[in-house]
Amino acid sequence: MPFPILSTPHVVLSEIISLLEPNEIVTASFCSENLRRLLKSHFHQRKPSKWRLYMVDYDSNRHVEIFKPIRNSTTVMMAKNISELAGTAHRPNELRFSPEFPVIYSEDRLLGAKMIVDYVTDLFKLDVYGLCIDINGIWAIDWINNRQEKMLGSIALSKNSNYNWYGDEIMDYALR
Amino acid sequence: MSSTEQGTSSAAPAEPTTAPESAAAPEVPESFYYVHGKDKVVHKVSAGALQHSALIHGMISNLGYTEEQAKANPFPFENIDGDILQMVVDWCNQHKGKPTPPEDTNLPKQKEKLFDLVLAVNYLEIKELLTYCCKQVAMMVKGKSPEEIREIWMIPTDAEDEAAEKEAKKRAGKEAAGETAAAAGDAK
Repeated sequence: MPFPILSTPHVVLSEIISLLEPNEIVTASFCSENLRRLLKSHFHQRKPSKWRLYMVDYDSNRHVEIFKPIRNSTTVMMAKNISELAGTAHRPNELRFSPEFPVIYSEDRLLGAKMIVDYVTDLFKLDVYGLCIDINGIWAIDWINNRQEKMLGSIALSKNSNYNWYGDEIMDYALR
Repeated sequence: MSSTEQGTSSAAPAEPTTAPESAAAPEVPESFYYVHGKDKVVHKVSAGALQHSALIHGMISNLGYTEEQAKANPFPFENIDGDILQMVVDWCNQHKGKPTPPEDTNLPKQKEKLFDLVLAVNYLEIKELLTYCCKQVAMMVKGKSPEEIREIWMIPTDAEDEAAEKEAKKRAGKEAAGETAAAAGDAK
């Protein structure tokens, strides 16, 4: 049964938006430009200051996660590299929707990662709080430090091919 | 409603250690108020149940009605359909004096009435019921694609929004031209 959400009073609309999960909000933002603007203005007025936004870029994982207090993290958007997907035909910058979150397909690894981070940070008016990267994602530290005033709250460095965390040597080099 | 209360109070002496004060205190008769919707059907609701509605609670506090005055002057809610008001009254009665559970199974089930119910609940300022209703609306789009969300929430596409905007501009232009012409006619 349809529910004309845009005909509801402002208080009701705000209450509904506040009850949506971050991944549902990102998916809903692709319904129309008007709804995207509305969601954006909602979060610009009531900044979800307790949410923490993480950029993940290691191995073939490139996605944005949001941690809400007392909740597990939610992946809100993902970028996939077309060249890594053998046998699938995707156009560059094509957007697909899984039941959980939107996925953007790009030819360029960096471009895809940047696009999803830009989109989500702009929608929620959040800075990137944390980074989970491998050696190929070191570029993201500079990129994030240049695009926001707030310092990164956490950096996790992952070894390629398996998920053992290690830092020291590479981290020292990256942070120098 | 009142028979249930009498039942509770008559059971109180059996457990004097748990509620000695309520057993000793003189029983205060519960006051009732009356509300009607668009269909003019009057609903009798206890003050306890009406406490859920900040709007009605405020009206009661400000008016200081006696029971006779309340009966003679039911609160009119002409903007609320009778069946919707009935749902709201039922919910208020079911949750009278009780802490509301996180998941409410007493929510009205008719989804086609959800929009009208949300508007009524918002108007009557029943915070908890509004949250439950909004949860239902939020649940509608779980795991859905933007295309499906657009259908469920009746969101116009960008093209439809553009067309509506053009139409509105056109109409505003015509109205402005009409007003100018009328003003010029008056001046002559």
